[in-house]
Amino acid sequence: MSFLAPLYLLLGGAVAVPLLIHLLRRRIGVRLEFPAARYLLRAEREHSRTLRIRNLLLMLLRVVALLAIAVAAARPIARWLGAGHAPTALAIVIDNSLSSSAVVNGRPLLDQFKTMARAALSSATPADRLWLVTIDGHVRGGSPALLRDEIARLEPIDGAGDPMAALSRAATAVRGAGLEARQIALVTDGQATEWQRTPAMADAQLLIYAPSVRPPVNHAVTFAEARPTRWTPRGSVAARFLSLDSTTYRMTISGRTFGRGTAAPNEEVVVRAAPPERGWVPGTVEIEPDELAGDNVRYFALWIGPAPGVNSSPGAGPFVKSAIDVLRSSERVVDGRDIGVVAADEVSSLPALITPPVDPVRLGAANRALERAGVPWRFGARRSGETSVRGTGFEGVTVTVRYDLVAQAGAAAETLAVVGWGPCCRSVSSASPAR
Amino acid sequence: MESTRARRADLFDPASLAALGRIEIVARWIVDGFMSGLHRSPRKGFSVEFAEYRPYQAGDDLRYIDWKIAARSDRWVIRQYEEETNLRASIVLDVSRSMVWTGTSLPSFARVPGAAERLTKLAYAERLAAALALLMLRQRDAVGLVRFDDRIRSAIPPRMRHGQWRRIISALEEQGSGRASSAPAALDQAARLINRRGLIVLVSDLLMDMPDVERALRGLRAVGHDVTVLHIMDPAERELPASGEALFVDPETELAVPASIADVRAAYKNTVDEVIGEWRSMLGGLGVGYEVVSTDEPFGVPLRRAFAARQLLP
Repeated sequence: MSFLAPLYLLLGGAVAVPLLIHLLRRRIGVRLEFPAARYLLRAEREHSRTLRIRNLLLMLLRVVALLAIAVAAARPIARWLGAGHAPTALAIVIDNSLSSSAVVNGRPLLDQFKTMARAALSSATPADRLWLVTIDGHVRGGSPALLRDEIARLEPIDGAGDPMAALSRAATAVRGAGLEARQIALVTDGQATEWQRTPAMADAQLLIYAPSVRPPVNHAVTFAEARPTRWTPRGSVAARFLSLDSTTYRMTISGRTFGRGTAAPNEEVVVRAAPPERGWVPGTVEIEPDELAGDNVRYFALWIGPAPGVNSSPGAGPFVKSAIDVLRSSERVVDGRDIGVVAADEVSSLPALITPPVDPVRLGAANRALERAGVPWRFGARRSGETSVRGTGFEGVTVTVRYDLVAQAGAAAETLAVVGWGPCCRSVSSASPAR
Repeated sequence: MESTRARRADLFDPASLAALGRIEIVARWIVDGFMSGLHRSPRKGFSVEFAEYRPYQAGDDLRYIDWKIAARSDRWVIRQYEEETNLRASIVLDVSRSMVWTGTSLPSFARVPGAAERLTKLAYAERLAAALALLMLRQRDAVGLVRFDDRIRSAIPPRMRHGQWRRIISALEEQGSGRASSAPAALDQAARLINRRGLIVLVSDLLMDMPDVERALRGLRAVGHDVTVLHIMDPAERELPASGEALFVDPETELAVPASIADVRAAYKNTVDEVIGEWRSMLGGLGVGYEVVSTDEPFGVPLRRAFAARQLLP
C-alpha cells in the first residue's frame, strides 16, 4: 500500500486529543449543587466497571475515527479492501451489437449497458488509463469525461460485430499502457450466438457485466434476396423468417408494397413480381416490429429493365443455341443485337460472348478475328485432360479440353473462373446452359 | 365535567398554583378542590351527629330503633349517624438543606427550551403539609406538625381546636433550615406528642441513612402508630437532565462527585430506582405506607394517596 498524499498522515497526531480528554476528563471545573449526589456516587461505584469500559471504548472509537480521517486524507492506494486502487489500465468493451437494441423492461438494453459502463468509469482516477471498445472493434481512448461522451453517442450496430476481435483489441490496448494492473470490463447481454467460446485474457483481468434480464422472444427476417438480381422486368423475391409461429410479412420495391402474406417459421417465401420501376431500385422485406427491432427489416437491391437482345451464330455450337433458347423462353433474353454469342473466328462486333472455335484448325483465324475486334486476348496452346474449374458458380464443373488465354498489351479483364494455371474454359461437361 | 376539572385547584400545576398566593390560601384552594372531587363517605355509624332514618332490618341493634316513631306510626326505623373518629395525626416535615432545591437550578435544565419552573422540594412539601392538615381538621381529626432538619425546628401537638390551622401555617412560614436531616429524633418527638395511637405522616426527600429511619419507624409501629411516608423527589433527581460534565456537590454533606451526565445517566436512573425499591421494601416490611411524590405533580395526587391512608384507619 502506498499513499498519494503521505503528508496528511501527520493528522494522525490528532489522536492525542481524545487521549488527553480521556486522561483529563475527571478534572471538571463546573460545580453544581445536587442533593442526590450520594445516588450519583453509588451509581458510579456500582457501575464503575461498565463506565470504565464504555469510556475506554469511546476513547478508542475517537482515536480510530481520527486515524481513519488521516489515512483517508493521505489517499491510500491499494488493491485490497476496496480502499482505492493502483493505477490501472482499463478497457471497457460494450456489446453494442444488434441484440443490444432489444427493449427489455421498457428500456433498450444498450441504455443499461451505458449505465454499467458509466459506473465502471466512475471509480477511475486520474492515474488510470482508459479505453472504450465497441463490439465492431473500434477503440477510443481518453479521459473519463471524453469516454462518457463517447458512451452517450453509442448506437447499436447492424449485426453481431466481432466480439473476439473487440476483446483482442482491448487486451492489446491495456497491455500497451505499461501499467501492472490491467482490466477489461465487458458489458454484454451474453447472447449465445455472439459468445460461442469463452474469451481468455491471459494478461488482463476480465470482468463481465451482464444484466440479469430475460431476452425477449425475437421475430426476424433472416434472409431476403432478389432472384435474379437483374429483372427483365420480371423476377421474384425470396425471404425466410425466424419466429416461434407463423408471421406476417410485407415486401416493397422503392417503397411500394408488392407482396403481403403469412409465412411459417423458417419457410422460404418466394413472391414474383413485375414492377414498373426501371434501373437499380431498393427493396425491403418487413415483419411486425417486436422488442428487437433491428432485424425486423431486411434490405435488398435489384436492377429492373428490358431483357437484352441476343443473337447467336451457328458457329457457337448447338449447346449455346439450346441455352439461349431456354433463356428466351423464360423472357430473360429476347432476339436482338445487343449481345452476340459467337465463335471466336466469327467475331465482328462487341459486346459478345466468345466461344473457342469448334475446329482447332480455325484457331489462327479466331485470333486474327479477336485482333480485328480489339479484344486483347488470344487463344494459346490447346490442352487436354479432365480438370476442375475454380470460380464462383462453377462448383463441380470439369473440363476435358481447354485453351490457354494469352493476354495482349492493355489487357484488363475480370477473371470469372480458373482452370489449371490460367483463365480459360473451352468445353463444359456438367454445367447448366446458363453458364 | 371538563370545566369542573379545570376549576379544581388540586389538579393545577404546583408552581403555577403556588404563585397565586400564600401557603394558607393555596392550601384552602387545594382542599376545596380536593373535597369537591370526593364522594360523600358511605360509612355511617352510630355516633353523635344524626344523619338519616332507614327501615329496620333483621339483625339491627334494637338500641337504635326510634321508639317514638314506632309508637306513632307503627313503623320500625333505625336512626343513623355520621361516623366520627378522634384520630390524632402528626405531620413530620423535613426542612433540611437538601429540601431547598429544585432541578430547574441546574444550568443544563435552563437551556432546555420551554422547561417549566418548579417549586423547591421544601416549598412543595410545605403546601402539601398545609393542605393535608386542613383536610384532616375538616374531618374532625386532631393534627399536629413537627419540622426538623438536624434538630427539631418546631413541634405543634395534635389538636382539633379552633386556631390549630393558624398555628400550623405560622410554623410552616418560619424561615431557616439546617444543614443535615435527622428524622429519627423528629419521629420520636412526633410519637411523644401523640399520647395515644395515631397517624404519622413523614414528608421528606429521604436523603438520610436508611437504618436510622428504619429503627425509628420500627419503634413507632411497635407502639401502634400508623405511618405513611411521602418521599418528595424533584424530577431531575429521578432522571438527570440534558448533558454536560460537572462536579456535583451535596449541600448537606459537601460530598463532591465529578461526573459526565451522558456517561452516568442510565446508571444513575437505575440506582435511583434501586433506592426507591429499597425504601419501598423496607417500609413495606414495617407496614408503613410509602409513596414517591414528584414536585411536578399536582397536589391532588399525593393528597389523594395520603387521604387514602387516612381512610383505612378506624
